[in-house]
Order: sequence, then C-alpha cells, then structure tokens
Amino acid sequence: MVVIYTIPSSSYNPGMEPDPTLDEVEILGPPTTFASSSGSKTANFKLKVNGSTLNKVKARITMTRAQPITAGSQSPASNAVWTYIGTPTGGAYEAEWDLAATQVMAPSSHQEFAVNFSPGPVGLYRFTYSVWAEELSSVVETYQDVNVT
Amino acid sequence: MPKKKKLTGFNIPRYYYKVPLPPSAATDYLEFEVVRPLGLTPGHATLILDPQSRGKPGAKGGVSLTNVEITVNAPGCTIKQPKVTPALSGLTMSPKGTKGCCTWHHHKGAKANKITYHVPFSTSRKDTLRFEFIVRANELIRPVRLQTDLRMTAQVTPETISVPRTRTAKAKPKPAGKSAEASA
Repeated sequence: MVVIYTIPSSSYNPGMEPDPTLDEVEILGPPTTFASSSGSKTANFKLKVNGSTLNKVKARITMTRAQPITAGSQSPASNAVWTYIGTPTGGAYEAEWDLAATQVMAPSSHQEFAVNFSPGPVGLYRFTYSVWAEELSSVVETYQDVNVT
Repeated sequence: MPKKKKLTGFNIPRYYYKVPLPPSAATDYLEFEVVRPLGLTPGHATLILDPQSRGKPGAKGGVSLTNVEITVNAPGCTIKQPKVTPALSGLTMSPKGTKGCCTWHHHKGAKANKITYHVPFSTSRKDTLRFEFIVRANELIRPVRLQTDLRMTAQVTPETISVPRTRTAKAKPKPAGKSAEASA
C-alpha cells in the first residue's frame, strides 16, 4: 500500500513555501505485514518536488536494530549527486542520502530512496522516513508501522 | 483478560541527538504499547527505554541520556497507579488519579538497563483515543513523540458472541378449549 504524505506549508521556512503545489513523500515499501521467514524486503520512499527548488536535501530511512540493511543494497548508491551513509557500522539499520552541494532538486523532479533489509524477529516495529532541506524549518517525518509475523 | 497487544519497537533516529554520534554508535531503543481495559481490569500504556540498544551490533560509543522526562498522554482516561522499574533515584511522577496525563523526571538512566514505565488507566470512553508517549532528555534536540490509536470498543468476532447454554423453557400448553383465533 502506497502512502502519500504532503509536507505542510508550515514546515517550510518563512517565504520558502512552495506555491502552488506542496512537496510530497510517498512511502512505497515494505508491505505493512510480512513474514520473518519471507526473505529480504525493501524499504523505500519517493520524494516528489512539486513546488520550488530544494537545496542540501537529506533523506533518511530509520528502521530498528532488528532490521539490518543488506550491504550494498542502497539505491541510489553513492555517486556525484548523492552520498550514502549507513549507520551504525557493523549492523546498519539507518540509511541516509545527502545531496551534493553542487546539486539541487528542481520542481517536477523526484527521487526514490531504497534499501533492502532482513525482516528480523516477529514483532511490531515503527519505521521513520524523513526529509530535510535548506528550505525546511526542521526535519519532516512520516512513519510506517510494520508487523513481522 | 484484556486482549494482549505486542510492543512496537522504535529506534530514535540519530539526527535527534545534539552531539553527532560516532558512526559505530547505536541509538536508544524504545518499545511501547497500549492495551484497552476490559471489564474491571484496567488498561495500560507501557513504554520501555532501552538505552543505546545495548547488546546489539554497534552498541558502543553512544551517549547516555540525562535529565530524562517521560510523558504519557492518555486522553479521556483516569490514570491509576503509575510505576517505573527499576526504581530510580531522583524520580518524580504525577500523582495517582491524575486525569489523562502522567510525567516522570529523573536525572540519569539505570546504567544501561531497560527502564519500564507503566501507566494503568480506566475510561468510560467508547471512541478511538490517541495516546502519546513523549521522551525528552538533555542530549536530544527535540522530544521524541510516539502516537498510537486505541479503539476502545472491542471488535465483535464470532468467538466473542456468546451462545446460550441453558435450554429455553418449553412453551406452556394452551388452555383447553381455546382456538388459535380466540387467543389472537
């Protein structure tokens, strides 16, 4: 189930509110319920820039300590546009992508961020999808509750 | 017995910490649940703070939370007797009988042990209530807020529909001499 979250205009610094269309965070995965034995899953979301240019973007996916990220599975991988950081080292469950200082996300552009992870033990978990940019007054967060059966 | 609900696990994202954590450091882990009351058994809201995800990969090098403040918002509920385990020094909490909100303050954690905050409550509300757990500490840039909705009216499932166990009484015989038309 895809969940779309619109970043409220109050999250932008004064005078930087996109007009007329607000930016969106689209949670694409994983499914809200999956089996612990079902193999690797993907946590991914899309940042859709609708209004005005975003600078110095940071996109993050924070799962929990029970869901280790599969090494090398991040998308985008580090390149001239995005730098990827997985933490903590030795058992990463947090993914962060930093937009290069020479780059911007222009209106009508979008970027998908994804990592594969192991489902971990049976239980309920809350994942955090967050976005920050120079134009935002603070980190914008959305959540997803997942049920590992 | 109230329906058992499982705890939800949550790792505090590292951008919540004032001081940048070293790459090897894990962040603090929270677990929370809200269970609705049933009959005379009170419901409860529970939060567990597991400092620095101890015992897990990358658990070294984190910061210890100090001057911790835990708030549990239980709208429309009467809080019974909150408790925290283990017992901590410098702990203050809102008194028994507080309506709808309960707060603890303590200066230090329990030396990397789990701390469990337990809030029993009762309510006569029948709609959906939004509970909130708020964690504040000196080392955090902003409070961690965890919301969870609790539907107070239990869902009716086939298993919960009771079936009469006693036999229904036999219909009394109609008095002799009266026809169906006469008794109608």
